[in-house]
Amino acid sequence: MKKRVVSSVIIALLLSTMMVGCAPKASEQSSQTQASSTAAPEAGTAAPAASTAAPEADSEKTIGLVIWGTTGAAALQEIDLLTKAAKITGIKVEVLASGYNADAQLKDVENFAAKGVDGIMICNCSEEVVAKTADICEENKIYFGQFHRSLSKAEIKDRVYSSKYFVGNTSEDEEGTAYILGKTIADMGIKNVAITTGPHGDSTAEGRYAGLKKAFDEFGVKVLAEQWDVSSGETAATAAQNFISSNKDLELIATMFSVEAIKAVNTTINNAGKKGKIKVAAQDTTGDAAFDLELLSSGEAIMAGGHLVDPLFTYMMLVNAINGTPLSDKPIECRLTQIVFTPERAEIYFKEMEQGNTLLGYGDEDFKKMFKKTNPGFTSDELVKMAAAWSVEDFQARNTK
Amino acid sequence: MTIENQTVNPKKMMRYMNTESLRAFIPFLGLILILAIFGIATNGKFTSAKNLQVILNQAISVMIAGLGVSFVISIGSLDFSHGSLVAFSAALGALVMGATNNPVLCFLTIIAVAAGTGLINGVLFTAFRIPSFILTMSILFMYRGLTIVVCSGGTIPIPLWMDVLDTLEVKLAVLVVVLLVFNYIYTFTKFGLYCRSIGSGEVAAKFAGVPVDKIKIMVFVISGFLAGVTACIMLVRSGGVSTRFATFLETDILTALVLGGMPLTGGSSARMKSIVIGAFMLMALKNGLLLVGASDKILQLLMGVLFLIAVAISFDRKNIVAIK
Repeated sequence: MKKRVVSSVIIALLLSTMMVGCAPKASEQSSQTQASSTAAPEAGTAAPAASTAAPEADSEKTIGLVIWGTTGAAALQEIDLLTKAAKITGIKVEVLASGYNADAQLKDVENFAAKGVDGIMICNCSEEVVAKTADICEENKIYFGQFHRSLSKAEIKDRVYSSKYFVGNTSEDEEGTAYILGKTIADMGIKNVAITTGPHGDSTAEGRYAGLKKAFDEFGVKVLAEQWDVSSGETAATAAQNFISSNKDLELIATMFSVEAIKAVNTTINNAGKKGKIKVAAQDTTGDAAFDLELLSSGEAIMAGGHLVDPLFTYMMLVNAINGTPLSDKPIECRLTQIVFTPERAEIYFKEMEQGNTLLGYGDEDFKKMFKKTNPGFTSDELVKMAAAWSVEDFQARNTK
Repeated sequence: MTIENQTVNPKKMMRYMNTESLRAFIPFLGLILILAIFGIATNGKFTSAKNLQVILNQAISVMIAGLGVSFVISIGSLDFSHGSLVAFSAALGALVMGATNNPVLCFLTIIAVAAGTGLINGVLFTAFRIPSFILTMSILFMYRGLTIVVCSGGTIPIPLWMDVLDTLEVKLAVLVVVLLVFNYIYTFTKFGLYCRSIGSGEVAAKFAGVPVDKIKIMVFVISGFLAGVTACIMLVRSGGVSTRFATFLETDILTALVLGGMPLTGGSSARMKSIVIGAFMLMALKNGLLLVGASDKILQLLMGVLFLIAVAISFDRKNIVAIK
């Protein structure tokens, strides 16, 4: 008897769910009604109706952000930036974190597609993931773009770039900046260093390591120890402890991956009583402006970074495409140059660009400028130029006009 | 000879059987509730054919790998090596693919490496009496290290044309074959009976003439073999292997098994259906929570709470013993 009752309840629940699935959504009903009423008159009169309906429709549009994590300072700062831009564009961002695991990233892309997002932004862990993402997005007619990443493998690039749903990517010259950082370290007379970086196979980790190593080899800096796959503060602290205890000549630890690593390494150095004796170098900032500024001005650190603005450019590519006003009919490639901090640059960056009225150097007026609905004449070339010009000096120039 | 205090109380027996049958029913009820709740909450988007296909597509690798772990659990042990085993075998397979451009050789390599590792696990487990959890966790670390060495030059890709194998139809066909074959082995053969009897009581099984060590080794080989099949599927899906390939697969498998009602202590109540229901439930939960708009920040928390509830309801506390 009990089983029968339970079974009946379950069947009723299931049937009701299936029925709900068959019914059109309220929003679909309204849009269908709207479409039929505006379709009746001539085509010419339908256009204004569509444009007036647009803001309401925009509020329902979403972009799925596939990112490495949601707890670290870098991710939080990037999500904050996009959330701020979304207030202007009306296209909000939903976030899923999947580490650097290809299968997990693909699951996130599939789940976003199943949810019915209008666009997907991915910081892919491998180029192969982008090829699969292209398939999923084409099947579901969703625009997609990369951030902090580009494509180098010809076969994958051909496939992805041939997709009409691929809007483009934004990335940094990781290797080039790391080289400059390495040269700066050598110019300071530092001879013995240790390196922590991210996982093997990750383009950011590999690029940064390659650039740094190239500079060290060229300028005679000796790498006493190195550890890969350091992508959290905890692993960075352990690595730093090992470096310090086993290398008495150590002068600097280069933390080339994970913003959490910088604080962790600095704390480990201080706890080991090596403050002032061992410096920290990083190709990131921590997201804690006061801490970074103090570290830089005390001469305890050499840093490059500020590239957390990167996702904004991909977001703007997507937003404009989703709104039916794409910036280009071809994928756009935005390339950023990271800031290598001098004390002067650090002062402006951390006090004005990170803590002022703007977020990473951009504010509402900049978002409006990149948004075709508020700036119809905006082009992909201008977006590329804005990204390429992004720097402390560019920020100063924009804000002293 | 009389046995004191061993008389059977019919009322107690009935109550026990009712509890047991209810416990067996709970995973199904949980799955149906998930379908119903998320279905209503998402206006049917969750239960649409397309979304159910997405969930199934994501669950297949956990189902196949978990099927192998189910065999290990049925003998009262645990195989925790899957994430790294899958990664390492897939990495070697990808290398073979790059060198030969022959997918058959690639898949055979993967399965041979994985099944071979299963054999090593089984032999070490029986010969040195190392607890399976400790042993397979050591293998987990070792193989992740080896994967990092193999993938030190970056992602090892496979040709893009292998995408043709990455379809739900192909994966479903593999799943159905694997399920039919291994469920038959577990349910209807002497081997399956031996597995369950070892899980219910190893000493008794040994006295009854069950070749315990041989069965244990074979169980680990099956687990390795199915990890190899999973590696083939995941390799084709991901298009390459990097150092983070298949990380946390072992925890997904364990979660799915618990959600599916698998008694972690093994024995006669271990059923192959547990992993199928559990894996689908796990992926459905993740997908459903996203569809209803749960923030990524609370997704993990919600998953943890739901997992705890599932365990609290379905876990059989009578048989709590240390995993051998």
